Amino acid sequence: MSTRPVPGLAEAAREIAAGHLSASELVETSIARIAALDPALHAFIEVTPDRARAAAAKADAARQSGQSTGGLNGIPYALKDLYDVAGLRTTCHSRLLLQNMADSTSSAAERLDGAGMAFLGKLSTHEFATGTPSPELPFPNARNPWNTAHFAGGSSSGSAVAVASGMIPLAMGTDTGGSIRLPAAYCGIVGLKPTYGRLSRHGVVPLSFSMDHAGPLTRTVEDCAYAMQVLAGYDPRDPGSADQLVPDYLAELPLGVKGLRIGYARDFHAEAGIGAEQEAALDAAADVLRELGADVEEVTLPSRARFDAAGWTVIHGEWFAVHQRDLRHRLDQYATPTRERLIMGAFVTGPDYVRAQRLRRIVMHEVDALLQRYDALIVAPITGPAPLVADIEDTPLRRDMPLTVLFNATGHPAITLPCGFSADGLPLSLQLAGGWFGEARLMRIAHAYEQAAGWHTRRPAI
Amino acid sequence: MTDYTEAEIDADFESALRRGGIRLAPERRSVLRESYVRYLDMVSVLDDAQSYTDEPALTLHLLPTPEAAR
Repeated sequence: MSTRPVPGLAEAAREIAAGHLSASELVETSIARIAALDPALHAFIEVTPDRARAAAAKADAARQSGQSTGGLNGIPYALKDLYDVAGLRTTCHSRLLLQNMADSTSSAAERLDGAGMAFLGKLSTHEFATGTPSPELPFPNARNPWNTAHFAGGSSSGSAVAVASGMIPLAMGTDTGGSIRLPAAYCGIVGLKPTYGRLSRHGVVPLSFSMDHAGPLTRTVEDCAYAMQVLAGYDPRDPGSADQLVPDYLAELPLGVKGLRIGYARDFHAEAGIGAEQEAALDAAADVLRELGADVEEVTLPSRARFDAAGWTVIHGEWFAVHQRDLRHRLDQYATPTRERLIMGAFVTGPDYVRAQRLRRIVMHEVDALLQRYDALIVAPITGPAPLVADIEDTPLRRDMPLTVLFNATGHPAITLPCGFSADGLPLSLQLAGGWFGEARLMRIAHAYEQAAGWHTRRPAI
Repeated sequence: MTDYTEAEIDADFESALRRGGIRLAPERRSVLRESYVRYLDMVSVLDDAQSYTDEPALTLHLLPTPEAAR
């Protein structure tokens, strides 16, 4: 059986539509790739080949009988193990939930299944979408396919690893402070945190109600647009869901950036401690966008101290609200890093939380004022390439809080995509943020950059 | 930076854990307390009245304290 990587979502859709590939062949390629690589990369917690084969066979039969089928029909996908699928466990990578059988299916999985996609399993995460890699967890931690000694990022680590290693073309993640964008950045793929309310979180285990977002991880921006076309939309079962029209994401994708205005938060680099390689890669990305016809200007963001305080105070207060009962009664079942991070929420006072929400609203409007003047912002998502796993900080309150929390606090959509490689061969990443519900424009800009720069064509040597 | 005394930090740290119902292993207490001090630094931004320039409540912050008025 072949262990070649699966094609991206858009390429797979085109190959299947042209009759060059069947959904069943694609699913078998995916299953074989997982069998070959996952023992070393640990992206999956559970693989569901029978479900995927059945969905692919159904898609192939529909095509053979001449029925009109959607572009993604029969293409495999997988879910971070925070998403419910009826009849399967949702473990959140935690000993606390090893017996947690879901009796209903998350909205995202319903939508992907409704498009005929083939569900192929549950993906590893950091425990409850927080914490860090730990030997105390019930499943192994996902490994970065570019170099397994380096961090895969988190918390949607399995999602990023599965896509980057060519096991599957689409994985769903969640992002509360950067948990889609960071692993996508470290693993050299595309991760989109949509606008707050754009994608339903129904059936996804919460971490922080105000900051949680669901979103896709894919190989390319075009793949991301394909996924968003299926995933986006109002869902009354998510109280944060927004009743906004869903545009045709693919239609705007090829329009380029000529005449668009892009703000580059370059003076943020010193405050954020951005390393030389990452800074040079961002400067080069800004130059590429200029060469493509965009008007790129430097802009100033709210200070990091302000958005860290606004974002992380809210997140800590809310995750303590989610976990307090289990921290009281089942404390020892959490891995140590998770337990201690969650306990930090006990220190958030009522006034802290209220002030953080007030400051958050102000920061939100400051950033939105920038996005009234610019079509997108360039903001560094990471300080440099993935650190060694051995060097990951596991203190209860991190010293190096992820920079990505800014757009969780403001709710603006933000996408990360590769923008170069370090001298050690590890991916570097560009983050673009856009106006509320402006994912179409955002992906258009990201796609133009991606196609011009070409970094997405590199794959890890595995 | 925070302007709490060490005794105030200790007292607040212990009371927050007690209120939250958290039993901490003794050997992890110093690690958590160190992070708690950094948390106080992080949220000190929230105490800056100038952070809330669009709030009518700011006027209350701008009034002199009774001590200053004297």
